[in-house]
This record gives sequence, C-alpha cells and structure tokens, in this order.
Amino acid sequence: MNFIDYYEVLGINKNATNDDIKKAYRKLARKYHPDLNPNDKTAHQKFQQINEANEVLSDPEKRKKYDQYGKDWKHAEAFEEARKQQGQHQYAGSAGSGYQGFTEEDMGEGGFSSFFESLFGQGAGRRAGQTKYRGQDYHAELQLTLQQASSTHQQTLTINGKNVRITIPAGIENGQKIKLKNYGSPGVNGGPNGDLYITFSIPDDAHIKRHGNDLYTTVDLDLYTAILGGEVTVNTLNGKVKVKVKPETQNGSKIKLTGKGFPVYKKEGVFGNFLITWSIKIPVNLSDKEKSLFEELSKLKH
Amino acid sequence: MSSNSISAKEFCMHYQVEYHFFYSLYESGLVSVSGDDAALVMDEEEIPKVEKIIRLHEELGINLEGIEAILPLIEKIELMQAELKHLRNHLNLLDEEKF
Repeated sequence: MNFIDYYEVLGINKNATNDDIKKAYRKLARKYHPDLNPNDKTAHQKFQQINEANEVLSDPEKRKKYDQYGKDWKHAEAFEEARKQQGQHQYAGSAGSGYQGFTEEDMGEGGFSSFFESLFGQGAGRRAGQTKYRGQDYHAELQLTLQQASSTHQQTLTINGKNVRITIPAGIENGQKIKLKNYGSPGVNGGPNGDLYITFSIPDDAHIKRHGNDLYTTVDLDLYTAILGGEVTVNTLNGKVKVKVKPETQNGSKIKLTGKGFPVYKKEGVFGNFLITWSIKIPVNLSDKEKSLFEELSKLKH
Repeated sequence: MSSNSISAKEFCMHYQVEYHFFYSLYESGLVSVSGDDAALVMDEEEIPKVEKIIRLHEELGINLEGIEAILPLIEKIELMQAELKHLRNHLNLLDEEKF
C-alpha cells in the first residue's frame, strides 16, 4: 500500500479550486469512462483512480483530512476514531466481492484503494453506480480448458455468496461473452435484477489447437509407416482414435478427419473437422546393417 | 421473449430525471417506447441503455446530440473488438504453424 497523490492523479496543483477539480475530473472522466471504453481494463482502472481522487478532493472535509494527514496515513491510530464513525455508513454485502474462481471488473462496486480505506474507512466512498431501480450488471471472466469447452456441461459459480448453477453450451469460443439474464445484483423498488455477463477464456491445449470449429494437431510418424503405410493411434480431445496412414506419406502433409473436430456452438450433433499434420521422424543411431540397407536403397533409386 | 415494462413516469421518479429529458430521448429515437404521449411505456430491456445515456449525460456532461453520435461508435467498437478477438484466435494458430 502506497501513498497516492490525488492532485497528481487529476493533474492539478495543491491550490486548485473546486471548479478546477471539477473541470479536471470531467476532462479525465470523458477519456476513461467505462461506458466509452468497453472491455478496456486499463481504462477502467484509471477511471477508478480518477473517481477516488475526485471523491477525496471534491469533498471539503475529506480534502482537508487528506491534506493534513494524507502523508502520514501509516499512523492509523490517529484515524481510528474517524474510521469508526465512518464505518456506520458501511453498506451491507458489498456487491461483487464474493466472486470465486474468476475476476470481477465491474465499476461502481466500491473499488477504492486500501490507501483510501485506511484514511477514510471502508465504505466511506460514495458508490458511483448505486442501484436506483434495475440491479447492476456483473461482469466476470471464466477460464475453461479446451476439453471443458468441448462438451455442454454445468458449473456452479459462487456470486455474492449464492451458488448459481449455469449450463455452458459446447463449442463456446475463446473470448466469447454470454449473458445470464437476472443473475446480476437485485433490483430495488420492484425493478428487475441486473444481468451477469461471463467472458470465457479458453487457452489452447498443449497438443491440440483450435480454430473455429476445427482442431489441429501434429503427430509424429516413423519413417517406415510413412513409406509403407499403416495405422497409428492419435489423441483427440475425447480419447484416442485409430488413423490409417497412406503409403508414401509426405512430411508436413495433412489429413482431415471429417466431423471429429470441435462441436459447433448451439448446433447439437454438428462438429468441425480434426486436422492432423504428419511430422516424419528420420531414424537415428542406425546400425551398420541398417546403414548398408539404406545405401542399397539409395543405389536402387534413380 | 416478452418482458415487463415500466412507465416513463415511474422511470423518471426512480432515476431522478426530468420527464422532458426522457421525452427528448424518445423524440430523438434513442430509446424505443410504446403507448401514447400521455402515458409512455418502455420495455425493461431498454433500461441498461437509458442508464448509460443518463451516466453519459450526468457524469460527463455530454448533451443528447453528443450521445447520439457516441452510442453507435461504442457499438462499432464492440463489434470490432469481437472481430479482433476472432482474428487473434486465428493468428495464434498461424504463428504456431510457422515456427
């Protein structure tokens, strides 16, 4: 936890008037406001900092306290009393703090620095997006393995202490966002709940790459099978398959297993293709006999 | 999928906005509403959009003309972000192949 120079955050000097502060805040807010910077985490963080600076400097009492004690925030005892008083305004059950297994990036959900909280107490900040009628939306990120994403399955997420069971349809894409209606924070005054947005992050498997609905893998093939043809066992996402190898298979050539790829999102029973690239391994540490046989072969050719 | 609706009057009360502000949103075509002028009704599905408009207006001091220009741009950015993500997924694969 470090001291935060709120004047620097807003780009103003210590003698700034309320009007200067307001102007500086507005100017920066126009640049970094989350509504104007969709899916931009850096801008969201920056906006949070600007908001916090404005929260302190635009409030005469907070500004005074910050100017007086800000640098010495480490002497927390001095602020203990004030903190107790402020604590009464603490809101119950801060939304968005109960996520598990994924990160929450929604703005207006508290989101004050620990510096701020040590100086003014937890919950001392006005909450920007306080619910007036419709509940707030939640934004979350969920990581799935390629294998998990390849089948329709259920997952239980904990959101604000409540377990929510969601069904994830097979074939979801890396970076895809889904909306779960009504799973956001509750509405007030009879308003509807907010929605829950989940963005999926699906890293490629170590051996299997995905593009759209097609899967790609590279399989090692010994020289003899490549030349004479045969059968090899290949790992797919869901187990092994036996694949025929044509005689005289070239290094780097591909074969396509139609319908053995990734399931197509929300199209049951439809699958992409599985593409195998052969990587032929030249034998090493040849015995004298092998060497002489290869020599014989090389004389035969051409 | 049918959903609930909220009257303009009720909306303005909860969100502490002037009725004429809401009316100008309707007039400019920024929000779709039903009912007649005396009793405008809005689908609840529209609320997030109106909330966003109110934020842009109140927090950033942007007027309706500005908002009319901004909203389609944001939509465009979101579409382009989705497309970029898609292309990046593809590019990862191509990079792997080159090595």
